[in-house]
Amino acid sequence: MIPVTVLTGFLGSGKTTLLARLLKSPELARTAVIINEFGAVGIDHDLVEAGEESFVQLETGCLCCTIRGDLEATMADLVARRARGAVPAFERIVIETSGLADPAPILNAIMSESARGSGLALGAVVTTVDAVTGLATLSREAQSARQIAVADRLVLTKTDLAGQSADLRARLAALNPRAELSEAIFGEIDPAGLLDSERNPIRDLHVHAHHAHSDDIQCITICREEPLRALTLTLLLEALADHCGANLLRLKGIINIAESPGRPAVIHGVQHVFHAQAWLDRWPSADQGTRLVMIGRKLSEGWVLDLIAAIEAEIDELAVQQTSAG
Amino acid sequence: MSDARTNSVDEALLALVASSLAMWGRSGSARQDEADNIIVESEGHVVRIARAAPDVPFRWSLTIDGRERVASSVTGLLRVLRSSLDPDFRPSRVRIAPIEIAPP
Repeated sequence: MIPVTVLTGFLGSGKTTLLARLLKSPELARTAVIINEFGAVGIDHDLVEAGEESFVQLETGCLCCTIRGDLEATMADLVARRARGAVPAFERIVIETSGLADPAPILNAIMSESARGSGLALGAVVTTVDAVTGLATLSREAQSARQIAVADRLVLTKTDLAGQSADLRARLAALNPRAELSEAIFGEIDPAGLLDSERNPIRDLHVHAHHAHSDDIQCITICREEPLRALTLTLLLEALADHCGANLLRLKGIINIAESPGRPAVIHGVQHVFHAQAWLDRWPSADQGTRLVMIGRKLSEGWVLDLIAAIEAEIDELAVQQTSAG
Repeated sequence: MSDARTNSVDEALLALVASSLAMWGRSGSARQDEADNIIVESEGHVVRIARAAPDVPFRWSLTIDGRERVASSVTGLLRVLRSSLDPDFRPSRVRIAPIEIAPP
């Protein structure tokens, strides 16, 4: 049987970072990854670099909303392609869910007759929890509690930013005393055993696929071909922190910086916390445009576009003034 | 500085202020007056946004119900404006470090 591991966790809790690190370890060679993102434009698959014997497949839309059809079909298709040598002979599948996904219907799909017939079996359920924002997220987002409740292993991320997180640990223990708890710092964690299969009697119960996203959670995507100045990006992020704050559940982006052609910047933010940008060595695909994805409440694409336009106009004007003065 | 550049900032700022009112959930309107200042009327408040004099170290002057405040950038202006219109607004205390221009 081929184990199917589910990697879940709320928006911005570090799933993709953890997955990217795990896929670099030799123990996890020959892994097929299914990444699911909420929103029409996916970028997580560009942030995960698979080795020669592993590969990544992207699904957009909400996995848990279309689960029984789409996920079962995707997994069956992977197994069929593996059998005829169309893809590397993977030894495991890892599904990275959207941060908003209810894991219950996903687990049901993996345990379905169809999946069993394809030779698949549920492996571990690994849930990432943000040590900085996890407690507040738990009190506000019911989905976060569901993701923790079904975990075999909980991975506390960003502990370098959050100290001991005693209250959060106590809350996790109350929600899921069975789960093993470990820590990842910048995605670094001992991969041995993390994704291994292990029976979980509670998980084997049939879980009803009743779930709902909060209706007011939305995803907006800003795409543009023209590079963005570094100063524009700095001012944009500052304004987003000011005016969106806790409503901005997640921000992620690949940015074409004017001053750094050829090396895109990757940015991440969760609520008011923005992480230092990382630089990729090269563009991961032919698409070299900026893609900025924001998930949250009370967001406005028009407002973000107006904000960028006003910032750029002011920077242009200052540049002209400086040239005239110089 | 060319007039075209000035118009570009003024037009972009007017559009931003108008969409900001909507995003902040404040009723009201924003318009440009004869002197190219932006006049914001919202829930009993009147704000006049004007360019600061060229010899001062800030770029924008906001006259809010007769009191003057200043801002050094469009994003600073937005923060001052919302603070004036929305009593529940708490701007982020986190300041974003400038993006490194040269990748390490």
